[in-house]
Amino acid sequence: MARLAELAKEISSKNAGAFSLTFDIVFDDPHIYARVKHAGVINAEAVAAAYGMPVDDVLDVVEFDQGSAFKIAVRRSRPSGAVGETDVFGAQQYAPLLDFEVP
Amino acid sequence: MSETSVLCASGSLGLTPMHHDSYWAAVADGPDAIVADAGSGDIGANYLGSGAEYNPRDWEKHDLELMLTAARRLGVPMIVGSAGGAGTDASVDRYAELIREIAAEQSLTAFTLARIYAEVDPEQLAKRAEAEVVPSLSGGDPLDPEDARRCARVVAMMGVEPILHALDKGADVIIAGRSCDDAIFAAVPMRRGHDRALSLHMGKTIECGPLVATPIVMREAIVGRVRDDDFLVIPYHPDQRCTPMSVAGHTLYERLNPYRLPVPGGTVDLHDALFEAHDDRICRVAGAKWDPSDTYAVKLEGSAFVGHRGIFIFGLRDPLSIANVDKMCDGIAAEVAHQYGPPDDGRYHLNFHVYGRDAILGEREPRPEITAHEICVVVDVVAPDRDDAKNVAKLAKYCSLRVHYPGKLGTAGGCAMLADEVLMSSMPGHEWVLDHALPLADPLEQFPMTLEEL
Repeated sequence: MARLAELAKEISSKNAGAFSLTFDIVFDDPHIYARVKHAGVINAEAVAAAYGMPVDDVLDVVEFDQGSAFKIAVRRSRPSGAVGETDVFGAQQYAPLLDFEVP
Repeated sequence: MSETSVLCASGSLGLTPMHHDSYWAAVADGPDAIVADAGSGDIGANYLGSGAEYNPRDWEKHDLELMLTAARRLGVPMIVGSAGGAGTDASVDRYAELIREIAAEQSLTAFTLARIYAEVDPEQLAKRAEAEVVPSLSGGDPLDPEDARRCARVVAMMGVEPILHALDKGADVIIAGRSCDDAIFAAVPMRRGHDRALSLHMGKTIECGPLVATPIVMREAIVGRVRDDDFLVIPYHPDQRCTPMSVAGHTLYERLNPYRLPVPGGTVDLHDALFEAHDDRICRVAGAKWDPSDTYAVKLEGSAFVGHRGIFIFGLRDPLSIANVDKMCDGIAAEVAHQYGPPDDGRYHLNFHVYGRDAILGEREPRPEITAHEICVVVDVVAPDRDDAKNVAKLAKYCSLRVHYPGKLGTAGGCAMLADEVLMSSMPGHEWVLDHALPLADPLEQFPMTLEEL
């Protein structure tokens, strides 16, 4: 087992519009990407569980082979910059993904 | 083979000043257009709603001056999109004034300046929403006319057509309001007959400038060169390389889906996109396909006033205080409610952000326990009345010192204040309220243009 943080070159989050967040998980070695992809650990249910959000709030999980990357889109719990919201760019929302375990 | 080179002068005009060396190296290679995007929806609703300026004027003028002098020297179009960050009409006028100022200082004459505006009158939008369906972009409800009326300001994101129209009318310098970033880069290649999907994909690839290259450095020049069946991504900083990995990776940036790039009038389909090394520093990209949509619609951005913001920040170091942080916050909230009424009656919003526990992820935090030896609480007050915002935060400040919890030892004052004052935000707070696309019969509708000779 390895933590995703040890395998990926980049794990990041960012706004995709004011109402959604997008997570990028990028690998610099296509073989490691293939290992994670075949392990099947990055999926809507796992993302929902990691954040304690309903699975319906996970809008998309895309495998992007050309870029050896996964792209995840989720609904924001509050729009960017709304009253009570604390991450205007959505730039630190990726942290729970770091701990995903990959066989 | 025909080629059209577009120079991305800055990944975000005016955000920080452009770097000179790579820019002039790119200019020396004779690009066919010099383009920069100034905008972002990321900057928050306050700038659109309040009209506050996002960047220092000096930095904006610095970048505009570099672009204008090179574009006039080469005799090629200069295009700036989403002026001022939010792309308001006032920002378009402000940038146009800077262009006139620079032209006068540098004795640059005999060119045509186009201003293209992107604001939508909220009342006109509300009337359209009453007469027809203005669909949601994310599967939600159609636009509610009252949501349009709440907006202090609304902009629509123009596609490539208003830029092409300005070029057709002889514009040499185009200052555009809120724009699709890919469109401002795609306009010149498309006008010269290049494929629409390829031109738009090139635009999306280079619009953030050096973020497409590796290693990432700020504010260096990038050129996109569109050819018959592909485009090249060319870095100009000597340490940067555009690799298939860096360019394909950037395709993901700020987007929901790496395979589909929706723009007004259709989608750029990237399922068959190909990224390969042209040489050790230039990446070749091919394979984008155009998938037209039935209707032509532009994305709307609307910003409504919610209130002024007062902030009070305190820290806790005593383990017993940390263990009782919720009791402290509850005690503060109870006293505020006693003085200013219940929190749900709209007079104020009171939020406690506990840094060191769950301030950043909120209810999505998987580990909402405190393990640090000190924590920070940001008391975040928003109220329509500015004095209310200040006074609620001031009351919270006093209560944070005095609020009681069982076993409290520090009776002289229960928290470490960052400052003995309420910090008031410099601009009125706004929130995003629209997530809709406005169907247009004509892509130029909503985007009036004015031309002037300089």
